[in-house]
Amino acid sequence: MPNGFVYEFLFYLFGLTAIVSAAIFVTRRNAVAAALWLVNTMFCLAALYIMMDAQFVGAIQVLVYAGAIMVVFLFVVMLLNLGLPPSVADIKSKGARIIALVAGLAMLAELLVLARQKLPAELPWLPRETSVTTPITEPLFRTYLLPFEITSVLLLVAIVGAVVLAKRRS
Amino acid sequence: MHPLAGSIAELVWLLPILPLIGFVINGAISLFTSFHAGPADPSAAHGEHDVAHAGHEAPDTHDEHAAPKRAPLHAIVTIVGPLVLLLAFGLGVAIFVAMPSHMATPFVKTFFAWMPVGTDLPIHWAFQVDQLSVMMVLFVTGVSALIHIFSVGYMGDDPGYARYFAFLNLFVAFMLVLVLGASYPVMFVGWEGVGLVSYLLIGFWFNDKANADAGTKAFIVNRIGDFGFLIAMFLIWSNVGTLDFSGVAAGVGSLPAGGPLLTTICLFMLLACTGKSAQIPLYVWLPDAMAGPTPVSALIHAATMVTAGVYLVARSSFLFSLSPVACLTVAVIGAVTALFAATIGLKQWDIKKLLAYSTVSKIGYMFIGVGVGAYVAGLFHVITHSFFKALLFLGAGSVIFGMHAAYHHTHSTEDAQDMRNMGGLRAYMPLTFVMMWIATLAISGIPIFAGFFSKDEILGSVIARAADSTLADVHWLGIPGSAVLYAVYVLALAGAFLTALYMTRMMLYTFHGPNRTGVEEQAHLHEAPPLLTFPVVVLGVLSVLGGIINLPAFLHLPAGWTGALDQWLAPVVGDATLHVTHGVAAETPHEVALVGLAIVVAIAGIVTAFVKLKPAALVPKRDAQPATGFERVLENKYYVDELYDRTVVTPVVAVSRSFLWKGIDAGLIDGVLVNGSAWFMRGLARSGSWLQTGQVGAYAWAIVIGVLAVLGAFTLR
Amino acid sequence: MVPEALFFSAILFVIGVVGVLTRRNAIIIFMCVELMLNAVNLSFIGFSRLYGASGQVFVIFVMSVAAAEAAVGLAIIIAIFRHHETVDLKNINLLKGWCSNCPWPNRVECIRLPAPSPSWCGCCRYCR
Repeated sequence: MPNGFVYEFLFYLFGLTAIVSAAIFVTRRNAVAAALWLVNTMFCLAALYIMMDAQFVGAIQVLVYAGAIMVVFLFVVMLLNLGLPPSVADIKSKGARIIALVAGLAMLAELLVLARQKLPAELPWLPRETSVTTPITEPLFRTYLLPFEITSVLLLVAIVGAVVLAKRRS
Repeated sequence: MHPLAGSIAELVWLLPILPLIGFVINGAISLFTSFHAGPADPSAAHGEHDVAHAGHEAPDTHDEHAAPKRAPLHAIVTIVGPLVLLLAFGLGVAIFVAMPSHMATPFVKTFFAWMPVGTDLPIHWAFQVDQLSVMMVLFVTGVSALIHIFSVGYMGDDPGYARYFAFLNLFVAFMLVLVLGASYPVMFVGWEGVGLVSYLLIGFWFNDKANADAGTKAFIVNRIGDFGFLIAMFLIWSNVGTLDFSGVAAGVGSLPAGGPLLTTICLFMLLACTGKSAQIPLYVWLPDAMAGPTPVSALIHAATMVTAGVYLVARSSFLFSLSPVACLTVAVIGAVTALFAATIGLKQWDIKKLLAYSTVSKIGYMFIGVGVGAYVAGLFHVITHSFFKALLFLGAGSVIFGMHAAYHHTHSTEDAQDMRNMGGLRAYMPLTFVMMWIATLAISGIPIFAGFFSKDEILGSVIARAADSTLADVHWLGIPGSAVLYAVYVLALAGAFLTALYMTRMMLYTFHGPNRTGVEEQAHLHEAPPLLTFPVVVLGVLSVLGGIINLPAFLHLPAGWTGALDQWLAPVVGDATLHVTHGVAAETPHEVALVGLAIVVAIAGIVTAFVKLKPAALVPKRDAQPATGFERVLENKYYVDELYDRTVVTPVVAVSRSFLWKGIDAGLIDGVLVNGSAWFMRGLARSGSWLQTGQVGAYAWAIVIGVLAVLGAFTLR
Repeated sequence: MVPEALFFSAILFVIGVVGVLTRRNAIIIFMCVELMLNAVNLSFIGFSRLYGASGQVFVIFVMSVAAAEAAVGLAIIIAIFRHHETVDLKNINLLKGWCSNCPWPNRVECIRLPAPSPSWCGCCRYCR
């Protein structure tokens, strides 16, 4: 199945959809529309993750990114009432945009040149009967146990920081 | 095991420490009492300098004649100051007594590693006890003790009494380090230290700018000499590998005798000596040094410090004796200085200036002595000279003391040091008069007196070396050495004639003839108090009997009476002397005739003075006509100061001002380096702060450009 | 399929970069940064096909850090909005040391003004 025509078609479909959605996202003046297009990109990315044998991460992508983080973004946008296009002179002048585009294309060219290396062979696909979390839990709770714990502390600090920052001063 | 090990010589460290303790006590008293009850111009308290009388123009008769209020803790200073010197003198005598009659090697006492530079240059703080250093210790502490006692009377009413004694104690401490040091660096500490204290004491009454300038001049001129000392030390170390006297003496034999290297070392050392001992060309500071208190002139600028150059040559005799050219240079400089200073002395009116030039002249004789390799004769003259010159200065101090007291009573602004204002003091100061005549006869070289023996030993040595020595064999600037030595003899003899002449002139104008002080003042002229006359009398006795320590052989006295100093110093300088004289004991040809000639010359000088000079015709300073012709040249000291001013001081000041100060310091260092770097950094910071816009977009751009650059670098790799 | 994934990843990343460079709305820029993080995540997943599951672990770390960042960053944006009534980054340059409408520009220390003054900026410790 992984090497079939349908697989490749779907892979390109999700990838191109993600890119097109991202491109629309950066050009929207309306913040709510931009956020929704970004959510679309993330859904596509989640599909790509699943198609690359990272089912658990794909699920997390949907849950955390599309589900939690983007919801917070939308929530803030609506809270600050930034949804209306003219409220912010958002996009920079044409000259700035052209220069930014040139810089982006230059970076893309450099990235592609750098990525043009011989890659090793792909690993075999996981057997169907294996649990999808098993390959992740093994390194996560052994090799990367300390970073994992530190991440939990980081999240705690972030919660406290967010509360302190967002609290209205008396 | 050295014979002195375990004896009292182990306490040699105490010798400089004792005066140093005095310095600390007196210095602390001076610092913490800070007594300023005296007149605003401190020199007005004593009137050492004619300028000082300016403060008396508007007489404030309030309590003029009441005894001035004395500085606090006066009694402690009076006791501590001379006492430490007496103790040091006693210790010196004890060490002298403990020394065996013949001690082949010096006793070197090492205390601690002072400046260990790697393993190549382990400089230790070490003192050397040998015949030479003990001799110097005895006469330095002895004469210093007498002058300290004199100072108690002379400086008693000075507001800076404690400061004065602090400096005087410090001077003796450094002088003892100088003579006791067992290596050149330790000696250099004393060498620099006495220079420092000399500066402090010349400018003792620093409220008067002329005095402060005189101190500065002495200090700077001495720096030139110290440069020579340092270069000589560097050369010795780089070629011999050690700086200890004994080590250098042992290692110097490996250097080519008479070679240019040894001559260079000796000539740089000679430069140091001309600075410290006031010889041509660096003698100019000594006459100006008379701006200090008179006992200081007696101690530092006549008896002890200025003989340090002679001591250095004698101490380095193992170097000098190997370089006949350098020896001849020393002798020639000494002879020229002796005559040159004597001619200037002929026309000086200031009694202290006259004695200063006399000192320069006499040190010239010592240089002749050590220059021709007659080290014992030179050191003998150092000792006898310290007796009679200290006597002369202290006697002059008594005269000035009396003169000033008289002028002080009548509120006169006359110069208490000018001989034209004296005359006929014999009637008022009979004791001083007798003592001054003793010193005059001693310095002129009249038999029996101390100066006669030492001076004739030097003159006889010159003739002996001219006849047969290593010095006579070489050429000096193309002239045969023996011819140079005969010329030195003639110059020295002429100097002896002039010495007798100007000293008698001083006596005639000061003590003989009618009194020119003034009618009112005559009532107040009287002999100095006993505290001042006691040291004078002791020195007078020594000036008479001092010659006893080295009586010449031609007197045919019983064994043990003649040549005591010769035998005493033989272990230190004997080898060097023998090296100069081709290894045989020198026989002076026609010695009795030469001595007779010298006596005749001296008497001729005295008689000439009596015949030609008419004290009765002299007028006080205020009525004197300006001198003309050659007299004027002499009175102005050959215009050497002016010459130095034009050729050295003015160009140096001009270059310093326009180039070093305005150009290098203000322009380059301050302008370009200091302010320039500040301006540069400020400009850099300004352009940096322009980048710091606070706009997140700009920072994002900076990051993107950086990423592009890094990725580009990887791409192109 | 890994080279394609890396290709998509690069394009998405560049789109994020261009977005950061062209937008002035703080929230949009924030979202662009999230897009860049996602692009990197895609690369990680692609590489995990070649080198093993560690790449997926890293993606999980990136996600949690992104979540923390979003929480704090949005809180900051809310605080800024409360103060400046805008999220336009053109008007926000506190990093410079004083705010754009400070009455004493080019001074490190601005002078204390009466608190209710219209020029009150709160840009430094004197004004606060």
